[in-house]
Amino acid sequence: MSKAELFRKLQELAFVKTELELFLDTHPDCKASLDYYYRIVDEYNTLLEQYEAKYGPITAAANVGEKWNWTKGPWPWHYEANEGVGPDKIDGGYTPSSMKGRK
Amino acid sequence: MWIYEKKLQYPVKIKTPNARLASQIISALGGPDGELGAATRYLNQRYAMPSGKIIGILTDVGSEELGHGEIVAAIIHQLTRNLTPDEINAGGFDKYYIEHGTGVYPAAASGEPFSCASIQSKGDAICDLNEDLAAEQKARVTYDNILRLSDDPDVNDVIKFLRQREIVHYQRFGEALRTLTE
Repeated sequence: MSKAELFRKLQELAFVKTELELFLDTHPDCKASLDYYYRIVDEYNTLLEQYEAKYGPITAAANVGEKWNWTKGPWPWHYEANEGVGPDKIDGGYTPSSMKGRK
Repeated sequence: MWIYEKKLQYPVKIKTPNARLASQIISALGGPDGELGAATRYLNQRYAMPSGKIIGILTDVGSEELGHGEIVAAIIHQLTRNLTPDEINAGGFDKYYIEHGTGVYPAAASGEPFSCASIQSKGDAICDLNEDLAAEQKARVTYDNILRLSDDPDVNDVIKFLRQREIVHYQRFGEALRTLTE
């Protein structure tokens, strides 16, 4: 899976996870939903681990290694983040495209 | 995207309900210098910020402020347990009670509902970070004022923790501002 594919898959799984959490809040006895939820959470955690190991932390506490990478790279609202250009590309002073050419 | 953690950042255990204190401390949630305004201010300022470092500190402080709103709400909730009509009237909590019962409603101690009129997001990093430094000091003074009026040790213990966090945030915002000006 490419970085962008992996990222998109994570978004999809996170969305299914959220949707099931809402459903289970009002249907706590639905065994089928609960089983499905566990499967999704498993798959999500596996892919999340893969993604963060390669491309940097999605949550601050997933930061690993000698450097604090949490603040690096584009943030979720930047166009580049949604193109799948990730935290590995850019060091420290990332400049969003809207700020380029400005002092 | 945010994920909720089912725990307070600092424990709230208030043994004695106190209507008057509740009507004062509500300002720390929904007043002009309250936690809801702080979180709203920082999280919305992020989009115009020029560096990952500044976006990072605004994201992390803004998220912590959401948690502080929950701590203040927990204080209000526990201070308004099992109040009698006499206690509500005597404590000056009557006006709040008529509109909101013992529900938590973000408002100032004056009764003014929470308003974004007391915050700013100017689209300019130097301007916004200076606003944030002032905001932390204003919040710190609000907690100082609460500590002057409250003699409940259970409440004051939590308020002192929140007051200390304002000072730490002030330090971090100062460092963020210096990345732009030095």
